[in-house]
Amino acid sequence: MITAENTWLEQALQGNMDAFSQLVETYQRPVFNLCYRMLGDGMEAEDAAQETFWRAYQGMKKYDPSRSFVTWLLSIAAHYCIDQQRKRKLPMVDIDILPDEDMPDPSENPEKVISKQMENRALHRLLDQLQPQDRAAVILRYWYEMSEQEISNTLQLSTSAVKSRLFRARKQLADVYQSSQKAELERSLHGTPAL
Amino acid sequence: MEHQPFENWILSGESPTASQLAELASHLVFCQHCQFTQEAILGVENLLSSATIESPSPGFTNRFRYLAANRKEEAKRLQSYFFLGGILAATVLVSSGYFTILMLTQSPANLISNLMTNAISLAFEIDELLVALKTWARYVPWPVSLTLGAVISNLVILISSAWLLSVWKVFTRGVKVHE
Repeated sequence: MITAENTWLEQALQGNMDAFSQLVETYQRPVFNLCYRMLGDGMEAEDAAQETFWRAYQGMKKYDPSRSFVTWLLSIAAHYCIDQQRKRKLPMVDIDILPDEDMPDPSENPEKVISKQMENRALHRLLDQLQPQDRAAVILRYWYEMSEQEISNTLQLSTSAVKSRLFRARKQLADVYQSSQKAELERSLHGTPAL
Repeated sequence: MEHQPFENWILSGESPTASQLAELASHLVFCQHCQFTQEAILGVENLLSSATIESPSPGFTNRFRYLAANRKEEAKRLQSYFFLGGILAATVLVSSGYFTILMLTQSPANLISNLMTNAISLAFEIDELLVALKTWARYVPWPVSLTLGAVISNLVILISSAWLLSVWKVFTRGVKVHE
């Protein structure tokens, strides 16, 4: 069946920028979200997502049409973000000391905005503890509901490696979550403000 | 207390079988460690499943188009620099190679004397050419000479313009256009 996406893909393969822009418009959200969850910063995620699309545009000849286009894009994004995290070579920065990178939508309920920001911070604090490839595996599993086989194709790892990475990541996340819960409990008992 | 295989079942991310579930339930009654692990993993999964899919700020596609246009321009410019730099390097290499061979095969005195001999013979050849031209002008009618001169000078202008144009094209547009 010929879909609009197939037509855009065909035209993009010929180097048609307008067709490729349609693909960017369609897939910007999943790609940006992956970059955002991997890097934990809006600006860096924007750059990474732009870079992902540029690499995809340049490497269109390497795209295998039998594979899903969005999986191919996510694979490029995941590898780019893993490289970026490795390049940082800096100790993990506590998300609490970073300024808010997201401008809250003025139309949204302020309580909702704050709770969303707090949830995002808690999430990034958890994800920051993971190694880049484990983090990518968790993000693909939970946000994109990919099977272990799909994750292994996306990250170019064996299925058993994905399984063990997911297991290790879950254990690590549970440990961090437990200790953060304990710390929160202690704070509430001793009346220290949770800042 | 032994936490295996219960901890593995909790952390595997796969749904346990009915019998495993029953065993796990009876283990959790008296094992606080596994209880905490299960609560923690449920908390983590809740947090992960409640997280939204984030969107980029509006105008992402336009920003991409702008970035792509800039990168293409940059690539073309770089390609032109490499192309022209390559030509320059090749010229320098060939000239210096030629000069080195000359210096290795001839002494400086010989080189100077050969240069002078060549300059003198060139002067003689020019003189002979002028004589030949005068003879030509005496025997061939002037409209024919004029036409021939015009053809030759046009050819020279055409070839030089084509060369200049190709250098300019390479410099401004790059060697290969992708689209």
